[in-house]
Amino acid sequence: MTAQTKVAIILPVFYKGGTLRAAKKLAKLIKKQSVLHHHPIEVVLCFVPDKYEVLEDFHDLIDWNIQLREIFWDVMSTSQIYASDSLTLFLKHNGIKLDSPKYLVPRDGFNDLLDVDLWIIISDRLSAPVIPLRKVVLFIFDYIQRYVPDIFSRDVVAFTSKNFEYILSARRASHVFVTTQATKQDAISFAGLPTSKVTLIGDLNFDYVPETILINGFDEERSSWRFSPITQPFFMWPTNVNFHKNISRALDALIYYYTEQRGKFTTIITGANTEYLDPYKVKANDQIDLLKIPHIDKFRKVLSNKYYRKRIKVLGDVPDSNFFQLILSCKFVWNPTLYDNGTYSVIEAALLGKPSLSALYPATEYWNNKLNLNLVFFNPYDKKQMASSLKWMEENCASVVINQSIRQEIIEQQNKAEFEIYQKIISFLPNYSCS
Amino acid sequence: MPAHKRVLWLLNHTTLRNAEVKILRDMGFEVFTPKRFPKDDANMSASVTFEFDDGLTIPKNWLKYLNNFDFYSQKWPFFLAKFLNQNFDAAFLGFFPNMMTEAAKKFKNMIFIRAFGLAGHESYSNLIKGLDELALYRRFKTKDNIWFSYAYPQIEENEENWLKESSIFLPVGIDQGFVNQYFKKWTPEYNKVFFVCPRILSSNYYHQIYRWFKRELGQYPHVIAGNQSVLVNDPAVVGFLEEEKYYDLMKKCKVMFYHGQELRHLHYHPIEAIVMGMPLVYMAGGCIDYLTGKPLPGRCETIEEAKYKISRILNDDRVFIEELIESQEQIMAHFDISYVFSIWRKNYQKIIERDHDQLKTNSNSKITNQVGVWFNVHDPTLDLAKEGITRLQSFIIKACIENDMFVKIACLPWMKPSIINLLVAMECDMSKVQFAYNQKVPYIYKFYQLLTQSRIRPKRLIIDKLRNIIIFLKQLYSNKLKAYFIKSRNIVDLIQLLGIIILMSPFAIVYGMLYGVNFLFVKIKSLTSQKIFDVMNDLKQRYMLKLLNLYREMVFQEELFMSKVISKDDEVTAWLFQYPRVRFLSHVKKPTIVSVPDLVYLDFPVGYSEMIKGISDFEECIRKATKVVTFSNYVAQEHIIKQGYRSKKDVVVIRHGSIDLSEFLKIKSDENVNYRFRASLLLRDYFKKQQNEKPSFMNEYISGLPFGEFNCFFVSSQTRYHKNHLAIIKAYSILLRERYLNYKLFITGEFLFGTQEFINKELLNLDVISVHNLPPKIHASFYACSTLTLVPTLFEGGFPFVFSESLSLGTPVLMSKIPVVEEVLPKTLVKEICFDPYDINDIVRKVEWAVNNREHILEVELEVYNHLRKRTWRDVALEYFDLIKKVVYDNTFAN
Repeated sequence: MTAQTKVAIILPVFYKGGTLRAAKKLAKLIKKQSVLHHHPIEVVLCFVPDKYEVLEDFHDLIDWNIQLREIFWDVMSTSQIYASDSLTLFLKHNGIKLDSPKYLVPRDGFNDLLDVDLWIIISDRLSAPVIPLRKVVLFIFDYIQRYVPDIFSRDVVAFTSKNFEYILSARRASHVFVTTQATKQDAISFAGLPTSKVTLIGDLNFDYVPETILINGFDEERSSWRFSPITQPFFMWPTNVNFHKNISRALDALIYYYTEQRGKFTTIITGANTEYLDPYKVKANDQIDLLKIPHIDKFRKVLSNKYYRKRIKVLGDVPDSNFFQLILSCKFVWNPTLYDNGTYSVIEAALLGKPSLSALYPATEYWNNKLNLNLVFFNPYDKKQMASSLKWMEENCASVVINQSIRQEIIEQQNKAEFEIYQKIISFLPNYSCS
Repeated sequence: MPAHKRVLWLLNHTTLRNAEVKILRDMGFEVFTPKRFPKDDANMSASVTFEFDDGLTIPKNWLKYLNNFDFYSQKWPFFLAKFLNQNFDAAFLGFFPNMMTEAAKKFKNMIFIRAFGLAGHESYSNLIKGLDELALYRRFKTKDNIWFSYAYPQIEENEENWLKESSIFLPVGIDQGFVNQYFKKWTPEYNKVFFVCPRILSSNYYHQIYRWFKRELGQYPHVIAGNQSVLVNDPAVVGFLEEEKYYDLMKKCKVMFYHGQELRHLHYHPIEAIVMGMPLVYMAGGCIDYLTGKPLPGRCETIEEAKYKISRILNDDRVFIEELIESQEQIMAHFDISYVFSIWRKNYQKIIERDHDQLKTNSNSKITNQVGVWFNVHDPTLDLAKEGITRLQSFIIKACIENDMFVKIACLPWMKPSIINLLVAMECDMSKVQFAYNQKVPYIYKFYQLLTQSRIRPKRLIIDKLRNIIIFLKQLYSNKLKAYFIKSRNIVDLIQLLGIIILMSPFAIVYGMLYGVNFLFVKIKSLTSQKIFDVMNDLKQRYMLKLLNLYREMVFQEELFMSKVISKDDEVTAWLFQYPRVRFLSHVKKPTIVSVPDLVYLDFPVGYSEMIKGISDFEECIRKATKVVTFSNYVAQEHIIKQGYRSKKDVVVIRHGSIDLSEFLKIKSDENVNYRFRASLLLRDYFKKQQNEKPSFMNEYISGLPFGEFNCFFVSSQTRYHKNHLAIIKAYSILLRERYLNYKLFITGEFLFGTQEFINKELLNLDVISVHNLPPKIHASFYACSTLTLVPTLFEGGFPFVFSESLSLGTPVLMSKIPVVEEVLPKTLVKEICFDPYDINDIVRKVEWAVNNREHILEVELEVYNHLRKRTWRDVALEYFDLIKKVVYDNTFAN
């Protein structure tokens, strides 16, 4: 490899939250490891300009001397590509065969990412495979749609065609990285990727909890509460309003908890778009599509009832600092999700010394085993069981043992994962030879 | 070996010749090899030798003539054809169209078409059908002394039935002379990768491979060998080398890299490397994988893996190198000349003996003590050896023959060749076989075959030629004009230009007219020749249904007529019907034995209310038969006896034997193969071919699945009302979505009876997949690649074949707890592996448990399976034979 080796980390669509963090983390990882191993690699982080506040969202990368570049996607059919002499020559010269009817071509206003040696795309949400002018590596976080198809569509044609776009993109990539064993199995079985093409790596987001909070704990004076501090005992339900979050069953479980089980703890709900669950936060409006979703509509109706309003409070999307402070103040974290690649809030809770009551699905089981989280599990399809487990947790949360050395374990695993990821990524660089 | 003396071997590939001609000579033949061949890119490995001429005992002047004759391109004059037919018993041909066509038309003796595999999913069947002349195709269709001799077992699987039926496995070997000279002679002096890539600048295909190699592995020191018709400006490309220098270079390099991933083709050089004891790093998914049946250390799934392994070798990792070289013996075993010779000898001998004894059935009609067997088949494309009932019938016939009974077969006239082939393959003494019905094939059948089996092929119509003329004229006219206009500088030039315009105006007029005509056609929706034939084929499809009904009526009338014919046959003492067909039985006066698989409509009167017509016919048939055979006590008791059709003494239960599908996934009978590995290659290849032939979203999706690398359930059954597919899919939905079991579900049946609606509603269409009309090898492959086989049926007439089929390939089974299962399996096993098919939660529980206890289930089931498989189909046939004897005796005694 030469000093001019360049790698592009690409956010193919607008992402915030975990995906954005993962992209930035990866960029820093490659930069750091390449310096450590005396093979400096330039890293370019590419994003589709949408709602980003560049200085705010990417400020940390600037400090790391990581280039930022805006891109957009062009779509070209294979016949268009072959009609172009320059592209045909390029493909021929590099022994590249095209076998998809259309491709996404990145355009960046420079040389369309051809100054870069490897394209790493964070997510598989691509409407077509990326043209393989460089090797393309994808990071895939989950295949939730396999288990909760509603997150795509209830229409079989739309569901199938959307899935197929993503599957085709993954199949045409040179390699795919996943972060959980379940996603790896889904990548093989559902997306149809050969095992050799899928690598399980450690997750990139664990040190998200700021050091200051970990060390200093809750600092009420410095907090920037936008609401009154919560004094009554409560548990946290970090969520969003997507289908896989199991909102409808969770609500039924809460109703059972408060009525049949006479639950005492307040439910605090935070997360992106959760304000739509509260009819007082977001007024009824025909223009808002989210409000037409059945589980959101149901939630709003329940929250119109004073009885439940007193017990279930929706805070919406709170700033990170407030979020961690809430975790520090809560009795436990509740995760009734049907399926995802691992709700970080239960890991954050463990880091902050709080127990979690979680639905049992492959990702939570995986993280529980890997990090000794000591999660208390329930069946997210059984509402009554959910309610009774809430009641149990209310009575026993103090006795749930937290893994005190979780932070150390995470750091060790991350260090190992960092090196493995770096090794794997550079193996895709041109002229790389194992020595 | 019967007297074949002399053969033509009409190929020129040097390495192949060294092996195959020697095999033929060792088999005792004189062999002629051609001395002329096309000097083109495709024959860069070819050469000429006269070394075998001395062994030929044909007149010298004829030898001289043959040596000067170009078998690849010249037509055979009459006198040559006569001479060859009189003096050569067989001809081995390369796949060269002119050569094959001439031989097919003029060589009456045995022809072997050598097949070494094609790229991708191209098939020899398609190529043969696509030849300009159809002589070769016709010869295969009529099975006229011609054989498709494939070099690798997996080649045959890709072919159509008409070619498969005339195929013979003659493997490729490596010349013993080469082995003697180069065995374990690897002496690495150059720390380089040896890669073979000929025709880099003269073939797009090889150019791409070359570019890919340079891009991926170019950073390693390497040499690239292979003949180059155009010089390549790359110091690593060594170009043409004399044989000795070539092998010398090969053996001095550190490692060979083989890129080939064709399932059905393998180049010689990796084998040569293996002989030398040179480490071979090769890409997965190709012929080597299939032959070895397991992953070897040199195998690479990805190019990154290849880089890693090459690095280890170049860095002198001795342990790895030794491991690699040792494992390569497993590849070598398939090319070992003594193994290859034994296969050639065995298979060739079978052909010869068949050729001599030929399928001469007994035409003497004055034989008594005959048993009649009614074959209830009408589809000649069916492989009867693989159909359960016909296979059983062939066993029964064999049992009768071996016990000194003569057999008379009643079958539709067009099924005769298939049935003869079936019985000959079973090694039945055909002199004891007669056919009861010897009418000619009706015209309507021939017409039906013509329409159904041929697709109207688009030929170049005048419209295509027209289009080409238009393009040519346009280019000519406009290019000329442009050229003159650009050069014009003065008035003289302009006058010249005007002159050109005038001179060329006729062309312009013609062009205009043609353009107009073409424009009209474009207006009528781009009527190309392809379109016309598409329309014709569409029309054909539309009227096919009507034709199908006519066809069915014809079949029925033929069978009816046949039953009347056989009713007059006094030599037959008893008839065996494998299915109740009363309209034909009623004509038969002799004792009859009728097999009744089941009367399923009795258990499912609502479900089958619309489907089964003519129930009264079945009932009458059962009543009229002399003896009734069922496959289980349950059917005997509940469907026949308790219903009052027959008394206990008239009903005999003869259970099925076991079915062993492992033969489909073995090359050598004694090999210790990983079924799943080989099956995964076949499945991937099969579905890629499906996608090529019938592109569709689902085919594309399935074609990309890495079979063998993910878990799946398999349900092998037809789609019938009682097969309970909806329940298993509902249970699967819970297992996937609520128990998070990462499995797919494959079902060999179409989605009917509400299953498709449920799948659509639950959006399971990427996980619950229908795979129907599977060829037997692919069907076996599904068993081998599945984690569990499920049998959710609510009813069966006999113990499900699926049990033995699945276990023969190492896959455990879960079954419904139904009477026929409880009759056969021990109680303890029923408790472990059976579920209540009416209770979805029970199915879920049982499957979830089974997934976590697979090894245990396999162990206990294999124990039972090993016991059950002792009952072979021969045993079953003997029971039928005993019954036939009894019926005949009783009838004789009564008379």
